[in-house]
Amino acid sequence: MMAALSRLPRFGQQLLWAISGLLLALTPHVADLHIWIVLLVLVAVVVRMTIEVRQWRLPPKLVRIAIAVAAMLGVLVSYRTLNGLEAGTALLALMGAMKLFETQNRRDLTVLVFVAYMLVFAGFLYNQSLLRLPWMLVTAWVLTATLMRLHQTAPMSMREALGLTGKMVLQALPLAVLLFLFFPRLPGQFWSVPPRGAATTGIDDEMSPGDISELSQSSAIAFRVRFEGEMPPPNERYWRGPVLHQFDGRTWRRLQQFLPRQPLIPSGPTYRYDISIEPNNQSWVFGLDAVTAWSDRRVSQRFDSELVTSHRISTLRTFSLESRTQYRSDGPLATTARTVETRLSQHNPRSKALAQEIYARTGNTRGFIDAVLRKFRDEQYYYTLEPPRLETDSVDDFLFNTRQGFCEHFASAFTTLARAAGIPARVVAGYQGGEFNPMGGYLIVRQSDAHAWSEVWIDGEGWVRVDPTAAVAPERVQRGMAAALGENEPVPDRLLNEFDALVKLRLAWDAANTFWNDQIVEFGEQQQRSLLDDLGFENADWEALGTALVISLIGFFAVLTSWLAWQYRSRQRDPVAQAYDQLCRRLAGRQLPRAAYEGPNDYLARVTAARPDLRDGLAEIRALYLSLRYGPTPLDSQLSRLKFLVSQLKV
Amino acid sequence: MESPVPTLITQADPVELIGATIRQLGKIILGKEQQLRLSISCLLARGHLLIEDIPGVGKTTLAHALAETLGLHYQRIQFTSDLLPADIIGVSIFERDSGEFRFHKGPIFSQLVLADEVNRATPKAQSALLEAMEEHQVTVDGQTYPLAAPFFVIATQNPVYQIGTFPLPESQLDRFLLRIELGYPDSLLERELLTGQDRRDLLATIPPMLTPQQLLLMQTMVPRVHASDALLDYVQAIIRYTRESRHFESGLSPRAGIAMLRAAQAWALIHGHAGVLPEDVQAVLPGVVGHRLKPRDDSSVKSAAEVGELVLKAVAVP
Repeated sequence: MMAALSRLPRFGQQLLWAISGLLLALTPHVADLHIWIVLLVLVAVVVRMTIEVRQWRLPPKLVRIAIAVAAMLGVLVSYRTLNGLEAGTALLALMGAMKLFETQNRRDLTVLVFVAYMLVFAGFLYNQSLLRLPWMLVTAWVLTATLMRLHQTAPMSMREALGLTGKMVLQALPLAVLLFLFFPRLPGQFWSVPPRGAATTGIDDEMSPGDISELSQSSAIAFRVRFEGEMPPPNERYWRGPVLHQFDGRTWRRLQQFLPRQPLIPSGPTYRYDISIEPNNQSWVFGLDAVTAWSDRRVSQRFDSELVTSHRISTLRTFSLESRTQYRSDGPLATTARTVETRLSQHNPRSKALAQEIYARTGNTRGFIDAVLRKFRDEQYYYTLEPPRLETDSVDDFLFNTRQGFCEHFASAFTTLARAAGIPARVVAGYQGGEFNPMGGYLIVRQSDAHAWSEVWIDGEGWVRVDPTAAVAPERVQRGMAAALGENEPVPDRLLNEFDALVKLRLAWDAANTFWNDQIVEFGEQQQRSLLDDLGFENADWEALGTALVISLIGFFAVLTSWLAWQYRSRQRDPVAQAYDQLCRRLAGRQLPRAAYEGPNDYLARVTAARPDLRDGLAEIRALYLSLRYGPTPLDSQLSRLKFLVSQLKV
Repeated sequence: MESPVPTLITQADPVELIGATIRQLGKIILGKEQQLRLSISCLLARGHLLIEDIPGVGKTTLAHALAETLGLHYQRIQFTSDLLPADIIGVSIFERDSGEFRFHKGPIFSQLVLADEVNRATPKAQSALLEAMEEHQVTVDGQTYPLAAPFFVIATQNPVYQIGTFPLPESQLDRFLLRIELGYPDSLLERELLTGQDRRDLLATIPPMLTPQQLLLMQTMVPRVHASDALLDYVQAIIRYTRESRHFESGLSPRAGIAMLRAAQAWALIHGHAGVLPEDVQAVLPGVVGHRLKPRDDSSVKSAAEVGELVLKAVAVP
């Protein structure tokens, strides 16, 4: 088969390369497409190449239409629509494959190459990660080289085409950078990608026993944080997510109603930072507890200090926040809030009794909290990633039977006990800790850093964070989950983390990725504005930017053109040739350019046929020029006559 | 250019003479004026002609018609695999009357020799012909015999993919100044061929249009047709291109360069150009390079016609 392919004539070779480009462009989509589409494309490719090798005839038009309609219906059935990202990509891939069956000339191949280009672009709508970039570049390179080969009059080997295309791409690079930096950016996302329903891991808006320990087994990155200046110490790195108020004995849920807000009175150092959240299809902005200021207008803070954005995070998004880790809440707790935050279901009777007994013993809120935490620390409670399953009365089961739990068990149990003692309390889910990447100078927070803790209302102090996990496993808060768990726990990437070189490599890769995300993918209106500010253009609006861009483009091309003109300046001093060149230039301006290989006789005959009104002038010019340039005895008088005629010719 | 070359002798105005000759030939060889002009240019440039085409498209008729019209003495050698050099050059035979060997001249001693299907003979017979073409004389038994003047060989060749052929090596192909193909006639001319008189009968009726003296005179005029610096630049650019191009195993030799210039000069002469024009070079270019440039295996150009087209389009006229 390979031998047969290498023996193909010129068209066959070009077809082969166009198909290779199509398949390269399709590869990143394979995971997102229905399998039958991928298979159909492959079958189409094999059939088409067989037709080419065997020199069979292409299928008749009716068959082609039938296949195309069937394919379209297939997409409609599989995706229930022809619209949208997935269905659109599927349709594009299929139509590219169907186009193969009518590809028989250069124009068809060009169409094929452009379909493949579209597939490459579509790839960026799914995923803009750094990992994909090399693949996309190689694909675009092969496609462009194929396009170049298609449109060469003299045949060209693929190697040469690749070389020339590579050179052209490098030459175009400065222009691309210029456009990237200065092309006017509109606020928000330029093209809005419909959110995709794909499953992504992350903290959910409800919490049952086992949820967070399950999430913690993923080492996927949740978000990255870059601090301006100092970072808070590890035990203050609480990244606040959803706040859970309602408990049915097993599952904690958010509150749909609104309660009166208790204003925060912050103190202590201020931390400014950018947080880049990986797409998770949720809307929580995991700010450092507690957030005091933010810049994005789409972000708002709920009564319980939960920070949410109005759009679900479906692509990587960055928020600029300001936090202060010490704070207290103002004023007495509203009655409605007190009611909600102490409400319990009828489950977990033993726990309730225990709470009342402890409260009666200690007498005040502080004493109660200390007593419960001491119980967790001193009695036989264990911190583990794989806690046993719990009965319906989950807190009772945990406190009195299993005694093994992950952070959500401890947070849930602690909050239940507090409520049972009449102390307003709630559960906060989020992340705790993070790994500092010295190569990029930022903090990586992974799903394995997912955490849950409690907040209790202490009269006079307001909402106070209490982390019962810290009482059982203080290492968790100081050095992360892996340090707090035993040797045989299934901590993600434990093996990887034992090799220093691998850790470094992972951090370096993540630093590169972050640079890519922050500086390139996320480069938007604001970044452009600050770049312009740095360059001395303050408050540039997009009209001014557009004008500047046009002017700089014109400047760029003017410089380029004059350089090329200098490079290819006419080196001949022969006045006859100069006069002739002048004539050719003037005629070229009238849509009658001379082909490089065209001799003067043929050219002027062609021009005369196209412009009969110039017949006499051209006839004399021709006679003079041929005599001067190619004749045996040119005369000086002929030269001045030629110059005169060329300048007088009314083209 | 309407004004003719300043002629040396008015009785041999090449444009008129050749024009009349072509007109007459055109009555027999239908629709092949370009090939006829190339053939005559080749003859005037003192070169030899190679016609490569499938059997039956009129190669022999062309040779025969040329001989008749140009008033040349004509012989035909049918090349076969058992052809011997003696069958071409001639043989010395003992004569009892005089008691000595006497050389009987072979068919090569004619003004126009048609070497038919030259690639059917063995290399030995081929080289006998080709040596004679190059030297314009033959030497047998230590005795040198000059060939006729003018001396013009038209060799025909089947496409090499036909079986039973010995392809001429490149070094020998170079001895042919021009190579042409005749090709099929178009449908209108095909009809005329089908309905008209037999070509061979027509041949018998045509009178010679030129004398050998006129032909020789025109042959001396060819190298004197002016080739300006600008034109020589163009010719050199073509040669340079063939040597630098990645499409060919090797470029044009200096001999091929001279051949191209001579052919272009002859073309300019019969078209009445005062000096050689780029168009004259372009007219003969495919015939000059088609059999001399061998495309590389990986090149996409394959046929001689494609080679000519490629070179022509690739080099800019200065």
